[in-house]
Amino acid sequence: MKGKIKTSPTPDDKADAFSAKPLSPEEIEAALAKAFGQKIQQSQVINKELAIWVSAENLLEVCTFLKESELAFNHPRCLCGVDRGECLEIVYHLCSITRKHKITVKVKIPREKPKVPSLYPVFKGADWHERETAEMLGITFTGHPDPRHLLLREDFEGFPLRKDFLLSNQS
Amino acid sequence: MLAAGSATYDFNERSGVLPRATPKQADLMIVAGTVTYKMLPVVKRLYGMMPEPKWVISLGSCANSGGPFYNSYNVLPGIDKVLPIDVYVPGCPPRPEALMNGVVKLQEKIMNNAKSAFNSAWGIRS
Amino acid sequence: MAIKTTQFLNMGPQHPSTHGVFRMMLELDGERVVMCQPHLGYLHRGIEKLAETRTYPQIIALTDRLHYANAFQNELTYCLAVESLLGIEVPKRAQYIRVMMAELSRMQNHMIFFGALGMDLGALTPFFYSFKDRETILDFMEEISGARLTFNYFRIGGVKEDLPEGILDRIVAFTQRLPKIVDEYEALLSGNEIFLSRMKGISVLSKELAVNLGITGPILRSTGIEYDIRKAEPYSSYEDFEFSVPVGTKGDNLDRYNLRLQEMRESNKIVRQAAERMPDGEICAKVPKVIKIDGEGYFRTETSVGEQGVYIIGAGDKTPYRIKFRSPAFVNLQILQYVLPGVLVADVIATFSTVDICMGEVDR
Repeated sequence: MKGKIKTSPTPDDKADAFSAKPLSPEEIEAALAKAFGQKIQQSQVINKELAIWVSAENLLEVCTFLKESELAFNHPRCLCGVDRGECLEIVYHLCSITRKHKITVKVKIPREKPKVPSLYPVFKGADWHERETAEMLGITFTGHPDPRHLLLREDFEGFPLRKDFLLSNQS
Repeated sequence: MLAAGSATYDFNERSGVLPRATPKQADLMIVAGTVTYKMLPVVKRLYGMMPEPKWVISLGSCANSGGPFYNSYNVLPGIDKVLPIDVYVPGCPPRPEALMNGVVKLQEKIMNNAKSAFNSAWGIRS
Repeated sequence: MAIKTTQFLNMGPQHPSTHGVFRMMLELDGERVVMCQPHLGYLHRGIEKLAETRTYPQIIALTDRLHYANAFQNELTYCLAVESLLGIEVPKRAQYIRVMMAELSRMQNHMIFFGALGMDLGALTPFFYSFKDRETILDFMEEISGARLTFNYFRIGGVKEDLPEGILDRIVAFTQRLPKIVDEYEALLSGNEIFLSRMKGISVLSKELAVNLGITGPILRSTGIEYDIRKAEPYSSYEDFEFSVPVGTKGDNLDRYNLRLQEMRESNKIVRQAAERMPDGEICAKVPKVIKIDGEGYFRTETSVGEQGVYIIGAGDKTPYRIKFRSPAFVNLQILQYVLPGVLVADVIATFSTVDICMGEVDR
């Protein structure tokens, strides 16, 4: 009886074996497509790393899944905002400490009144990154517990990392 | 600046520079590094807290002119726009020797000022 | 009527032990910290915006100015990122030189950490010992690169100049001496009863919180997670060298301190292997005269503070469209809000010192 249990792996054993090795970008892509389907707007492999685009409404749901499913993207590496001209883009770099694979999550938001839910409930590490991105690009992170300026002084006007903010020697 | 006070250079004890933890006991302020607009009110206040007579050394390119960040939106291009500077020390970052030289130059300057004040008080032409 | 018994204490931004211009608002209940609110940005120079107006080789000079003790490692991260986007293969000799310099600067950084920690706890002697040895390393760096702190030595595709004659022998001689130097450091502080009682069990960081916060580097490893990018994703020939990654158990101040001393020994091994096995050959690959990048990529390395990341977006221009420096200290500093409540106000300085930050890197 015992031998039988040993030869056929239990779901737990399977998960352990699964979590031991890093997944390739294509495998992660397939797992995400299975879980979310149309909610992943676009996915692409850039520099051996999977990048997915999601809408702002689905961001929290996708990130919670990434963190808590067996994909185990538990480590927020980097968060930054990019001014893409007609729209703004927020780029989340996540990786897994346990499984050592990585993913890039991107959210496109309109230039006027840009709003995106805060990732603070999922990743506490997003705290200061979001405050910095908010002041640099003028993005509102809804649900952030402490939305003050971080690096700039309180009375600073303008959003430095937007392309229409010019330095003193630019014209 | 830290290295200048360490074992290899041993600058502090040799030239009579004693670091103080509070500006109220200091007569020399060394502005070391970039002054941003967020830091500026603090620097001004620190300068105001120092008792007279007082001197200021601007240490490094960033404090002198803004250095590589001269056109940044948050950097004051040169502390001399706000405070009277006695000695500028060039370099990015300056070597400990440069700081030593700066302090020696400041000491010379103070001596010369004192000498000329003495001379003019007694009507001596130098 | 309930009377509020807590008081606020402002530390910084020019407090001598805040390692730069950092400010903390502490809410105190007697001697205990109830709440800590960090304020930063006093050294924010807008490097990311400035980089958008510079060409790719010019940005190397900006990366030098992120962290005064880690300049080599920051240059390395940036150069590797540009090289991987351009698809340039760096010659083996240049890779070994880079590794050697990066590890020398790691040792140097930990020496500053050791001296500053001693000074913050009221012991001035460690400072003199560690800075004396640091000058030896800085002399090597100056001889090789021509500068003392801001080197601008790594180039896209390799390094600027070949090593001067005879320097490898002297570096090997230094690496033979270094274990004794670290022994000396340990004799100075590690067994000290006062030191131990101020470090042991203070400001404990849990594994889960460390991962959730995105902490990297020695602080993450001190909680017991073996994660080092040099091992996980080797870059610049790190797979050629034998070294181990020290890991702590508890995640308190003492672990963070011990781990860094161990890391000095491991870095020393890498420096020695690199110096002894230094291959001959080219020092710089063929690189186009005008560097233009189209595409994007995130690249990361393990600096002495943690994961230094560079995210470059190029739009086919001479200057990057957007560049993001993910500095490890910026993320690591967030632990203060979580570990400080409950400790004594005197231990705030010790904790701050063991996080080992440089404000230039935090504020960018």
